[in-house]
Amino acid sequence: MAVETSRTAAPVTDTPRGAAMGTWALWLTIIVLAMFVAGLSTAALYLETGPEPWPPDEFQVPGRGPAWLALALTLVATAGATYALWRIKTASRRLAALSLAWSAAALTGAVIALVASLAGAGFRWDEHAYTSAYWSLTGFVITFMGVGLIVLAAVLTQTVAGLVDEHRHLELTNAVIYLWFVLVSSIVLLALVHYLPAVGDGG
Amino acid sequence: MTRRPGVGRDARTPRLRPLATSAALAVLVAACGEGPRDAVTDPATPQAADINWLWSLSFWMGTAVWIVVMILLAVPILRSRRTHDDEPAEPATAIVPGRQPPGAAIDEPMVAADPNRHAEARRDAKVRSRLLWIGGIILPVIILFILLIADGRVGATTAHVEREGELVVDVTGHMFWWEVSYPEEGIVTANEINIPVDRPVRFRLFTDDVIHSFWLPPLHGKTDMIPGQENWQSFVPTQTGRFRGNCAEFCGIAHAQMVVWVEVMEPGDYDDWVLANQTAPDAPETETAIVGERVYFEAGCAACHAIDGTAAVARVGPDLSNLATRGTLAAGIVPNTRDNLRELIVDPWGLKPGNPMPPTIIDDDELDALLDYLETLQ
Amino acid sequence: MSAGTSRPTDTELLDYVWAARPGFVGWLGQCNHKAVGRRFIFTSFFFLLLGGAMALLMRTQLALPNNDVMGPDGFNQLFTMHGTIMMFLFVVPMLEGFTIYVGPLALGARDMPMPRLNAFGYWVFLFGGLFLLSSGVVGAVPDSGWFAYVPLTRAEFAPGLNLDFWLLGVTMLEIAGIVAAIEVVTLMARFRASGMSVSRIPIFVWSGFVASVMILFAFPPLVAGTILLELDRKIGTVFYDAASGGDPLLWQHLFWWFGHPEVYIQLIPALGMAAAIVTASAQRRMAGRTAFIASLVAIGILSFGLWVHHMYATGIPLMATSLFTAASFMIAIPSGVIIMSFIGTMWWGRLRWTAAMYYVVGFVIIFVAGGITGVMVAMVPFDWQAHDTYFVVAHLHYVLVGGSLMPILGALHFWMPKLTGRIMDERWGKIAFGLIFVGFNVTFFPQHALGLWGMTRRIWTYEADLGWNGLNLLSTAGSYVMGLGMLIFTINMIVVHLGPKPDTPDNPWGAESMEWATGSPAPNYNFRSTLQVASPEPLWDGESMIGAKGGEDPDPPAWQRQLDRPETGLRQALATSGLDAKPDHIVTLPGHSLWPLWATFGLGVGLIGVLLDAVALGVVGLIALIVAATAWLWPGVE
Repeated sequence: MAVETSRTAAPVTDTPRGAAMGTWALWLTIIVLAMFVAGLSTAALYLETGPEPWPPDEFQVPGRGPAWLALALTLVATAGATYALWRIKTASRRLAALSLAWSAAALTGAVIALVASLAGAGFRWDEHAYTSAYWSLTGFVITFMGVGLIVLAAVLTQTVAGLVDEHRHLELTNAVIYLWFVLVSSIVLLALVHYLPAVGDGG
Repeated sequence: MTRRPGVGRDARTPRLRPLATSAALAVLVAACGEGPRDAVTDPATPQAADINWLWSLSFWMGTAVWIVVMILLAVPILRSRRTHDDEPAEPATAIVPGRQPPGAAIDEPMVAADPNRHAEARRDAKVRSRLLWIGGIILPVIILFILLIADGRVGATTAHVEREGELVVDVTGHMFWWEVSYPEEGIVTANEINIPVDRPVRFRLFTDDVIHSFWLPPLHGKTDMIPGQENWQSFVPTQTGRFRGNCAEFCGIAHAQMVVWVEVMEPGDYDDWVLANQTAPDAPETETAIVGERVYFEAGCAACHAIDGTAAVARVGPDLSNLATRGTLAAGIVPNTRDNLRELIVDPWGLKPGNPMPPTIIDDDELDALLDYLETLQ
Repeated sequence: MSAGTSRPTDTELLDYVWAARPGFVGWLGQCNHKAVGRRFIFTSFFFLLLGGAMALLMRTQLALPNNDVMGPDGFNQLFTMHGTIMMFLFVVPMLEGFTIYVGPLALGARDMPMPRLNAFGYWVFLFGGLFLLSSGVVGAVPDSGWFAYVPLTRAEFAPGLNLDFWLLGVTMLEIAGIVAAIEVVTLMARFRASGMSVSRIPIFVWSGFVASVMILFAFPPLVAGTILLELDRKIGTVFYDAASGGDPLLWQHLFWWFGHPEVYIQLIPALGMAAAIVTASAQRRMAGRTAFIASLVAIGILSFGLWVHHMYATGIPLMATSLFTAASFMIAIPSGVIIMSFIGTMWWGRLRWTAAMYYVVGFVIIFVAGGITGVMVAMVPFDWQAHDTYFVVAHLHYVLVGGSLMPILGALHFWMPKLTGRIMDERWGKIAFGLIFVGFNVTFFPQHALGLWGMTRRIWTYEADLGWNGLNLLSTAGSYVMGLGMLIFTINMIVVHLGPKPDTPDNPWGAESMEWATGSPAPNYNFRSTLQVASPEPLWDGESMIGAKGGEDPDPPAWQRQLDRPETGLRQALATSGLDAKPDHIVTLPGHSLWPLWATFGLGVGLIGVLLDAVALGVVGLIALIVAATAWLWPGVE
């Protein structure tokens, strides 16, 4: 693994092997966030495996359309950021910045789709454990995406300002890795709230 | 040259063993006070007896293990009394030119700070190896295997199962009292449970609010009462007697004062008890008791406490139909005397802080009449 | 920089570059691992004394039946805060403090890899602790136990702010722990001295690493669970409400998934401390060093498979719980190897009886007893009797005091010269040990019997005719003796810091790891030269280490000259890579930064907003956190 040099890392040997501190910090943070998502997922799974139907008969599982849209947009956003990383390594800062802007727009769309899905869910969060899980897990996905938007905005600014370029782009690499995490955890969490209920209940 | 602590004339080996011994003696002395009422080690059912057996086995094995480890620990401590006088004086950080660096392998050879002692350090390699393999792995595996088998056996005999001819009693935990009902016999009471000896009993445990835990040490281990769940505790009482247990899961402010009593009776006595409780208490006959019954309704007692055969049907608090026959009050914490009952009515929070029962504002004559009435409830 | 035209020496230059900025702001903004480590150690020591004082108050109430020193609300708050303070504010932060202080020194590094993150961990810990304590100021002290079971802690049964203080405070402390764990893992992976291959890493650093990896896997699900409970309380979700499809046992599973590894997180670094002390005392390598380290790793992994043993009485079927009995038994094996390793190291009898070594002996005696009662309560039928009684209280104190407190007190003796340049008085240290050891056993040994005699946990009083009176009185007497011992320990620690600083030797104990190859206290720059090692005991094999006093590298490469003489004025450290720790790249580290403090304020203000249902405050805090974090991470050196 080639070292990802940053503003604060200067290679000693010709072929440095290790990753920079920021990379270590990011991957360890991803592990922490993944365990957090695992905790949420286990909670939802545990609650679902009770004797009663899930959701109970008085609730309809909301339509999956907005969730699919949000996932598609997140995929677009992640792909866009990955493309930006590729371009910046070949010194195309302008293309990278455009790609990041497009990525941020797609991610914003994903957030809007999920907020709309909550608004149209037809139930509140306090009515049953199923509705609590639906609202909370979707809410956490929105939160992860929101953090992704802040990260994208910061990195976009840095790219435009020239602080991120072909020599130093650890910030962009970390942003991309985080966005892939957002994509994977969104798939897991949204699948739990939309596909966990028995097939045939709405959708 | 700074004197290194721990070396030289004032290096003392720890006087730990005499201290530990005196501590153990102090415990024994204190323990020779009055004995406990309800101990795990005084089982009154075959289930509790099996658990007690498991405890004894693990206690003796555990004590033996601890003693062996302490003996092993004592060996180097005793040895150190003889060897501390010939320590080198220079600090070990002095870099000795010309000395060969050690090999890169980690466990061989054994390294000591003083190169002159390397040979001595290697000499106890066999002992170290045996300590680690036998003391650290082989013996623990054997001991744990024995305990695992014993645990499996006791687990099988103490499981909470349905048994033929069993008596089923439902107990629901509340903050901070126990609601008891006999579904087949049609009896509802509170805080004191009566069961016949030599007949299997299965308690079905529920709760109305938070987690409580039902536990009578001489009868069986504890079982939690969890909202939304039905848990069981089943055993066969083989000794008569009165057994006491605290609620065993922290349930709020008056958790310490939520006590349940179980009386195991001869079959004849139990049948009499069932018959007496299946019939409503007789209507009051003396004049004060009749007045007291009226006070019962006017002072608001009926808003929470049901009495069989009367218009009082609320089940917010304990059913009082057999109040006069109970040994204790306020969920088992004080004896059932007239004075205690008086205090419970006018100052429930002084008796039991956090009691959901509010004080009853009532003048002395009415209170006496009420007490007279309550004393008729059997 | 020395005034005038003469060129500063390497040491003067290093000292200048690695010193804190002047004034209060400079003191506040320190990110150097020594400052952060010292802060963790002394702050958590204060919390130890606070939690201990609470214990003394509880024992005073329980000395006599039907006692009226306090009522149930006071008692319930005391046992909740005693547990919360000891578990979250004392043991783990103290161990982190030592890992942060000693770790880089033992590895030959000049600082932690991410100093600002390190400082952030401390500020969040401090803020979390103050947040929890401030509940007392507003009269809403948490009072539902340190594991806060639902539904007692849902809004309907705990309507005040008490549990919100607990949940939000604990969340902050978990974040502090996670942050420290990220740092320690990175430290051991990347900042080792050149040549310090994996097999040469000191045992104490290994133990910090294992505990940190465990934190990364154990803490986040609890953060999830506490957030779900706070959502239940604040906005009315029903995750834990059985009547609405939720389940109270979900909380127990999430909590104990964290809770069981947590106690091993508290044990493992303490085992590392005891190992450092015993090797220095016996002046030889740890017996079975590889097996010892492998056992630490085994304990770390196995500890994740035990959590249901806290839930045996909840009605889970016997078949399932028996698996956890088997797993709980298994963890006794590596623990046994570790104890035998300690005894094997001491075996030849050439021991230096320092006060720290006394604590190691105390640890073996007490921890083994605790481990044995642990095997007992691992068995389901017996645990049905012992669970939630004073038997378990006795067990947990034997393993925690024996396994964590004893090594910590020994470590304070052992590493104090390196922390502050003072050596604690040995004689008073041994007296304190004797009082603590005897007092502890008199307090807790009788509690095994009390538990078997029916005395349940968390009761503020008991009736006079149950047969519990004598042992409770004895237990209280023991607690006062233990308290006296802790008082003497504290006074010893304070008194040796009064008066002029003595000329403390670099290595008063003759220990073997690299923190002892530099001054006492460690200078700002840690080591004068970049170090290279070729042995697990660099100080006992003088020729195996290059760079320590007297054994300088005669012809260092250019990058090493740059590190050892920082003419650029930047703080730089060497990152090594791979299992063999070959030099890889130079990292420029920040020295002074207040962004971690601002980020903590943002986080804290946001959580206060959640506490008080003040949306505006929450939003302000969130924005402040985002701004501070963005500024902190913005490209630039500082």
